[in-house]
Amino acid sequence: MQNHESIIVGCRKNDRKSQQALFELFASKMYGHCLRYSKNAEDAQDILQEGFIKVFEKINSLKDFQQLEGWMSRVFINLALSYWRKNHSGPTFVDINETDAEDEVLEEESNLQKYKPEEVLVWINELPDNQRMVLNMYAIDGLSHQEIASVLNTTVSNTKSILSRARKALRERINSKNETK
Amino acid sequence: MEKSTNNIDQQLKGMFETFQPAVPFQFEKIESRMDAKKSKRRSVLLWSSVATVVFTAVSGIIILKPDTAEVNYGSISKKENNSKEINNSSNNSNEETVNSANPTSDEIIAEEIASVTSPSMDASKIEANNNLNLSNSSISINNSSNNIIAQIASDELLRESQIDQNNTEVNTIYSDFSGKSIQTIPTSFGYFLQLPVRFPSPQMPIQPLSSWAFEVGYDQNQTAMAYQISPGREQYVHKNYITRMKEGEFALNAPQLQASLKYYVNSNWSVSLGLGFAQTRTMQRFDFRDSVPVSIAQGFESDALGNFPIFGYLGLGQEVKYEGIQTIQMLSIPMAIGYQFPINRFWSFNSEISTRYNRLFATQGKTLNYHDLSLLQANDEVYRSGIWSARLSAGAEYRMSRNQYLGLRVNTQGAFTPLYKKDASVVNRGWSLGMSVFYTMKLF
Repeated sequence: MQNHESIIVGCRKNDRKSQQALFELFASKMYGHCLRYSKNAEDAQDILQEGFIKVFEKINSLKDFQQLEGWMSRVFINLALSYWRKNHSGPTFVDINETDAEDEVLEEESNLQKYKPEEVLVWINELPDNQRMVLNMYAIDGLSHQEIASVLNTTVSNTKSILSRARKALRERINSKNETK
Repeated sequence: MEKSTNNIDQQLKGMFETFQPAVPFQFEKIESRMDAKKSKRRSVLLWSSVATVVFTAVSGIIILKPDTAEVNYGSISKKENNSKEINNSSNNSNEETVNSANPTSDEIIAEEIASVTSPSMDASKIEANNNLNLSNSSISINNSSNNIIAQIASDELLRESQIDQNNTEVNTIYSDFSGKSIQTIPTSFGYFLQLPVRFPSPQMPIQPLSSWAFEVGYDQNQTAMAYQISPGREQYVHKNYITRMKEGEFALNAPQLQASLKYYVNSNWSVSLGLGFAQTRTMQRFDFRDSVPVSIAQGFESDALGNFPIFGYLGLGQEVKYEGIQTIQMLSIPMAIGYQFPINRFWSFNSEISTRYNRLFATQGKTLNYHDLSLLQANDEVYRSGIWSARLSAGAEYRMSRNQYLGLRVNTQGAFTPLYKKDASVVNRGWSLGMSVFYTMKLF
């Protein structure tokens, strides 16, 4: 953490070496976020570059140095979402039947652990945009339905429905993969 | 419980919490993007400043532009004594008292009215009792905020200007005394003397101009660097250096902003000294892998950058991949000799030859090490801190007012001191064509 502090202090002074050190520390992790929220690697790389520039510009607003990673993740996720909003067109968050919104988490088990993250990422990226976004935000990044609804400008019941569908679609993909194996 | 820990969400979370894919690019890419962003911001700032200066100058010119109407106030008092008496008695209405064909009386009326607008009479309300025997006529001038409103007691004025028994139309236009005209308007009962409602601001006495002037100028050029190997130093420079630099560099722009004090030696010649800011921006794109030079130091001297002669090349060296913008910023002291020659009342031919001392104060970006083609940080370890440059320009100057001029010149300029350090094996200079816009204000 001492090391992180000196890097943050350096970044606040616009020191290129400190910025490079921060990049080398967190680039992979943040690229993972970018890949999850982007449809392709090119977009993810763009978001990664823009995200780091934003981090360097806004690092003065980071109050608690121990929250660096969480703060950076939030910056990248927000950027990815705004990037998606900007490039996204067409209907997305259409309210669906409330019955779809039932939590099916405990309904069925899926053994994902035998797959590599890169493989699972391909399946996630094959999901419709709204499902991919909600699944990422809820399941992986731990945002509440309330937060997701406000970020995506929709209702809580809608995000629940979408999440449910996303899980179902992902499970189907895993099952079909298991069957082919 | 086991089910809940094993659900798809938690599996995903666990999987992606540690997911760290390989990043396909290096920090340099972000660095160059930041540089580009920064320079874009700077150029926006620079252009905004230029726009502000131009806007302020133009606004100032419009606001401060003196009124060109000429009023000869000096002669009025003398003429007052010589004024012919106009018999304007109300009892003698058949007599034509205002003779439109008589310019003297018209002039007197005009001058009388003009006299009350004299700057020496700055009372807000002035009662003008003229000596034209208009005993009861009064001219009241309300001089508020430079707007002088003439109010004429209409009954007396009607009486004053009535006549023309034959009812022939006499529409006399009085001599222009202040850029406005006085007219008599025929009515059924005589003539109404219409005075200009608004008088121009009185003109102050003409102030002589001094030989000094203040000038601000902006140049926009595209300066491409010309690289050359210093004579007899070929062995210090990588065989592909010139080619790589030519391929990899593209000049973007070289703006200059300057303010100077000008002294007119005579009507044609002037000298000036000022302070300026100059910037050179070059886009760089390097993507190659070249052989590594083999150098033997014994018995040879190193050059300014510490390089020894190259005696051969070994296999492939490291890959050089870089994209960015190199920016060099300098503070400068321009000194110039100008020549101007009037073409007509408004336009003059204008030319200038100037030299400037430039002090390097900020550099950004990279350059190639001419010895081994590795990437070097472009800074004062590579470049000189003081550089001399020159500029030749010629164009036209437009006179906007008595003391303000706006001009446009075509210029050619460049450094005559190489940018690289003294005794470096490479010399580089940039000469370019560009445009200069300048504003000159002669001082009082």
